[in-house]
Amino acid sequence: MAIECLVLGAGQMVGKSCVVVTVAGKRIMFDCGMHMGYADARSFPDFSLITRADEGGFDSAISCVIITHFHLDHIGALPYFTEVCGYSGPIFMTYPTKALAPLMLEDYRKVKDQRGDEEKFTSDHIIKCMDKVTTVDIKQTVHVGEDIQICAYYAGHVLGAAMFHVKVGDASMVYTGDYNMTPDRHLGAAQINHLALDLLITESTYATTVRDSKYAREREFLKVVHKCIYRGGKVLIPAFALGRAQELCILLDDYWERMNLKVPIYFSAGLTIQSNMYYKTFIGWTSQKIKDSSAIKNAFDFKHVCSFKPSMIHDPGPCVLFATPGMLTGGFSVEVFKHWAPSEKNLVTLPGYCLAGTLGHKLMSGKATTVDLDKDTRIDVRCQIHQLSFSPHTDAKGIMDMVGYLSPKHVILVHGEKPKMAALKGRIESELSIPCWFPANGETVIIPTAQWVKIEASNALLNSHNNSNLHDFSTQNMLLPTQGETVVEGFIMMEKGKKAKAVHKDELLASLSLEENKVHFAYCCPVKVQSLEQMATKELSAGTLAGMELDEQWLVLLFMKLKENIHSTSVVMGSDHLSIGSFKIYRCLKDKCCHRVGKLADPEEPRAYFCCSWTKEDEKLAWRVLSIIKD
Amino acid sequence: MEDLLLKKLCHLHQTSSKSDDIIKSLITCRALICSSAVSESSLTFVSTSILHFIEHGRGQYLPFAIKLFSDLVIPNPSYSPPLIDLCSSLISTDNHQAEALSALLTIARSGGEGKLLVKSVLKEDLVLSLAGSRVVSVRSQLLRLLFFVFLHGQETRAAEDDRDHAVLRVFFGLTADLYPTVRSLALDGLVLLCKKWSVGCDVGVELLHDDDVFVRLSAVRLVSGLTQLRLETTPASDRGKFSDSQFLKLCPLARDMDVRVRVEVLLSLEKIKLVSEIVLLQTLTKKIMKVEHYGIPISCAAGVFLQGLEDEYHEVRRAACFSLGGFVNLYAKFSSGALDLLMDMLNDDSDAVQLQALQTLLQMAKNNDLIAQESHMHMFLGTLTNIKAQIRNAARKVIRFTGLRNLDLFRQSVNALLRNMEEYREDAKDILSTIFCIGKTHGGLATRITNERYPEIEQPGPEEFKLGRPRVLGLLVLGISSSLSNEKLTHTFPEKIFLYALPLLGRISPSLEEFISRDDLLSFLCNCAGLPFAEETESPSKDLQPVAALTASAIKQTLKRVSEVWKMMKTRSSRPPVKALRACREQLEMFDQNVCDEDFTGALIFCIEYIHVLELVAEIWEQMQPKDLLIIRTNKLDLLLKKLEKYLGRLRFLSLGLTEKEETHLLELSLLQCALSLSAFGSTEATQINIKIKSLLTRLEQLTAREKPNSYSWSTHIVDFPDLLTLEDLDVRRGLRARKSELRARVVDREFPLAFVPGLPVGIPLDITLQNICDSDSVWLRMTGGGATQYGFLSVDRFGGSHLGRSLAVDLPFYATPRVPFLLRVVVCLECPSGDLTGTKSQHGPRRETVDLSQEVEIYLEEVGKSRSWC
Repeated sequence: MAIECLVLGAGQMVGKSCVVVTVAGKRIMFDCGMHMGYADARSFPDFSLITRADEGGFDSAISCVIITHFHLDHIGALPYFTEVCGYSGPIFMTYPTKALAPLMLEDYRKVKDQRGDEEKFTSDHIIKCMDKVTTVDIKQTVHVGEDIQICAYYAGHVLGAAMFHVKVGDASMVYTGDYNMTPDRHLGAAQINHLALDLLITESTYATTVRDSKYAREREFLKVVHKCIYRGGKVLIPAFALGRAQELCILLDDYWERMNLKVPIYFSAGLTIQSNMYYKTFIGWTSQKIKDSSAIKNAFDFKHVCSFKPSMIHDPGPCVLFATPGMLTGGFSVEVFKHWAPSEKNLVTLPGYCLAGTLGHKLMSGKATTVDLDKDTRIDVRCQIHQLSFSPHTDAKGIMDMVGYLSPKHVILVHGEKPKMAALKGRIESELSIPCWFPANGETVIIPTAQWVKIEASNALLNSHNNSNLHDFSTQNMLLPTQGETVVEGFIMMEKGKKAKAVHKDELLASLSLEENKVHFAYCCPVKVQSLEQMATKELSAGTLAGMELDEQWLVLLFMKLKENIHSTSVVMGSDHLSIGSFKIYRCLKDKCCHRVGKLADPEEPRAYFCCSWTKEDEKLAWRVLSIIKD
Repeated sequence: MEDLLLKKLCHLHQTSSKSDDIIKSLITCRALICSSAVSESSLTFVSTSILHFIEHGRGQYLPFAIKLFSDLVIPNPSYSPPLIDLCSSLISTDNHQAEALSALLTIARSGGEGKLLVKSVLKEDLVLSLAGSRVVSVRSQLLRLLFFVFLHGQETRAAEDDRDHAVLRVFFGLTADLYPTVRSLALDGLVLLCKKWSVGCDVGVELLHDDDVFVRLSAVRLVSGLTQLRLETTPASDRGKFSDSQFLKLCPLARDMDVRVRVEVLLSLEKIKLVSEIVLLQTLTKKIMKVEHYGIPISCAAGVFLQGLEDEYHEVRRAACFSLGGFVNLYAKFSSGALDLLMDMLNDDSDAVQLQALQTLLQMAKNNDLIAQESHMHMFLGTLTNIKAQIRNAARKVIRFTGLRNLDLFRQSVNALLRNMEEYREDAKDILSTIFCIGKTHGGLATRITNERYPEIEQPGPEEFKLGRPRVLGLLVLGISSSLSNEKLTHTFPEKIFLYALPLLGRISPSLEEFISRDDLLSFLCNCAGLPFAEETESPSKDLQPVAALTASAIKQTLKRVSEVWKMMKTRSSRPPVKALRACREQLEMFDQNVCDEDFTGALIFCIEYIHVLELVAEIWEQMQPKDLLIIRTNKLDLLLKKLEKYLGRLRFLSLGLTEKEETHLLELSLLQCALSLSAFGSTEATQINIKIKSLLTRLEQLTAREKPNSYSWSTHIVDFPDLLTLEDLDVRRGLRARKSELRARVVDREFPLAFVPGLPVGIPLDITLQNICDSDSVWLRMTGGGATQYGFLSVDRFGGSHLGRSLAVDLPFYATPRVPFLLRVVVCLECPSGDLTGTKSQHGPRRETVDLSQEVEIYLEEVGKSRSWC
């Protein structure tokens, strides 16, 4: 069996994540994103590469679609795929993703609409697409058909982001989507269990970057903000509604609380307030601290935050304002900027990355003293500009930690830049000795998987587990490290149509409904009467054999002799036989016993015969006893 | 009622009882056991009933019955023998072994004889056969029982027991058990087992990556426990390598997905001492340093502490802060890196983390490692305004010990504290005390700030009364603190400051209680303000001058700190805290010795010199450590040893009024010095040192013979570090005095050197004062110049004044004048009455060893005629 991994998007690039994995005839699509940089066909994954099974279309080709989070580069092409391409099979995503995805898609569609670009899907498409979605919770296992099992794990990154563990038969893999190993203030770090994986498909946005502590950046940010408001200035934080706004707001709200500051923090009305509602609703998907304190206070009910009215732009006194959009591309944040930029006391905090051509980019690229907004408006920029980078992706150390922790058999890198991915691949292969690939879009990687046969072990077998250390333990090796090997002995039973089973040896017969057969050895041993009689006379004189029949006498004599030679208490005298373990001796009175072997002895010489029988375990003992008897 | 209930127990005696009845009877038993008013006889009946039931009853209820009986034993240990018999018979059969073991555990825990009784049941064969049991609960219960009976509460190896080996076998063997609970229990037991028997081994390392969380936890504990244990037995040269390798083994687990494991790992890391600097530096950054260290890649330690501090869970962050505390005092570079991170933790959202970060910072500050940077100040001073009083308090504690390098940092701190005064008036007392503290340690800076801010204090007019303002109060305290630390600074202030402070005495003095009493403060303020101090305010500490009182408290505090530092060094066997000791000494040196009362001067000088001696000892010890522990050699060992000898001599011979205990201690230190010299110089000076040791021992024996008739057991004492003198209770007023002398040449100007004629004696004009020198002391003047040394005897009779202070102006001749201009070094020294005889046979000079009484004075001499030629 092999895992076939076809990369439709995000192969050696960032954007339009889409990976199709085929195992044992089942085909699973991870993410269905779009590329924001293109307006043509390249913006969507090339779905035609998926081999369709005859006329059944995508429905028969793809078993299920799994979406990791609501960013457009992971979900953007989904309405197109379902409504235009006609896929109607199951789609899985987490609750917050399902809640936030329509907002994002609708927002994008509107922008396209405003620009007059060609629409790939309509509002109706989005609604219909979302109807087909099945939601999953963290660590909830969902079965798709008989063979596929899906389980989501927390990924950090954005609200509702998840990593998916998928099992198809015995093949097991994890698709991480985007994740973050360092916790934010509002989201936790990615978390996953020890899993035995054949394949790990991980993002590699920061394949070579190692980020330093975010605390230093936070400290600087708080310092400039505090200084600004201390001098009576106003702080403008242009931010995208989801993620960064909440993160910074929690940071500030917390600082305000501790420092007992009274300066107001405003949110410009609109998406931000609305998205705060989503955070409040999905409080279980946020960081540990917020979850812990949610019983007392919802961290997204910001204590010092109130909504902002456009008329308040000219209000005197210091304040902090969060305004959309993030890169000062227009809209309200630019409106506010126009009024606040000319004052030296004020401060504008920009995100770490602004697209070229935006006002944000202009401000960052140099100390601009004047900015032309349009032909008629020119603004003197005298305010301070501060930059705060903030990325919810894990860095190289985090990827290595994740790969090291999961220790899969194979790794595939997606969602990254080619040269950096190559460097990371080198590290994974050299440091962790795990084979690694980073296929380009449209390429397929075939990964062999070992066929694992699962066997059930019976309770008796597990209980019988024999602790080798305890038994081999002697003074010499007392201080050696433990071997770490545990030996369990048993039988493997494989039956047609049933799962293989390991059983303890005691259970074997019962489970096969067979009776136990044992091999007995038998030998009729001749003893010279003469020697017996000699002994008998000796004993007779001692008077021990008085009143016994001849046969009995001989057995007693034999008993005494054996006792003398074997020095064992195990020799037991029965009514008509002697026994030592499984070795039994009877007096044989038959003329022709079938166990008498060898050439017939001289008929003249009187002999007494003893029939002996024993099992295989006592073979050594038997030969010893026989030699004694023969003497 | 009791009888009625007892009757219900009859079902236990009948073999044919119904299940319901049996359950009811058993419940009745429990009720009777739990009741405190049940008579002894009833209890006996209950016990026999249960016993009878167990022996004859039906299997399905046996576990309950056994549990019931063991519950009976807890309050009534007298019933344990029958239960023990019962259990031992149950154990030998295959059924109910686990229950029986659990009952035995209960007996052992019930105290008294229980433990011994249970121990007698556990024969070697039995233990081994139970350990091989197929039932997992038997194995786990057995481990719990063995743990309690053989290991619990016995830190050291008790008397040899035949079963010890079997117990060890069981614990070792079961670390490889199939069941995680058993593995975890076995590992936990091994930690104690290895401690008890002082055996170290490498188990547990592979279980660090076990699938089960609890096994990983136990393995982490075991590895760290064994590391500590083995460090003690490892030869010093291998210790560094060993602790590094163990540290690196634990590091990967700091990225475990389970919170508990991460916490445990971080706490365990702290316990491994002596980790190399390079490894520790790697823990602060995620960027991998391409360094091979002892052949082990250190990449696995990358960012361990950094990521711990960034963790999502406050437990982990707190553990990381705590753990950093174990290493911050080791290396300067690491310390500054850790300081940056810790300062950032002050911005954490959890109070517990902030408090722990402050705690660690305090630890650093006390060791003089906390040098604040400009970048830290905003966050650090921000904690002063924290809404939580506890955090504000902790932050102020840190500030007291923080080194503020320049005026700017000092100004920022003072401003923050003054603002703090206004915002949190409830903290006023502590804030003032903090201001006083930093003012005292940064006297000069404090003076500048006070003068800068003087206009704020100054009252502009009668209508505006500003004095009551908390800000002004703070400034006044700052002024007082700097002038109290050094009286010379007093004159740099306008007198008015003290005048203004007078009416606010009631508000200021409670904050300064730990440094200076109210009356002393009053008299000091009156003095400085030029007002007559009303002598009527008689108080017990009246005879103490304010500065002296401050000195007294400072001496006490410093000595306490010194003994803490010394203790830490002895117990943790970490790098000697030379820096911390130096900090203590410098703190005391800031006091002006001349302004104090005579009594205090003696004590002060004694303490300073004593700490100096300790500092030297620590430094020497550091030098003698194996070289791989990154010690930078700054001073040559021999120089240090000579210096130590000199200082010890000064302490011994120049201090008057030493108790026997103190002298003994000093002698011990001298012996230590001799032993160290012997090992350092070897045979070259062996004879001389041996003579010295002999004389020291004679003196020691004389001293100890008075206390105890047995001779002094010196041999055991000089092997290890001596215990510190309990200086905390040094009575600074009991009259410790220092012999002292001041020497001044009447002509000491390089511009106008003294003239001499080569070959003829030249008179050296000197002013000499002697303090605390009695008539019987022989005082010499040592003059060294032009390659010759000449002693001149100073007869004490010639000095005027009493033994407290004598002075003399004298012209002493120097005979061996060379033919060239030269530099003459003159010093007054004391011939030690009980010192060793020196080898010099010279007639004109002391016969015994000498110690310098005064500072050395340098005098320039020029030939007559030439001296003026170039002027």
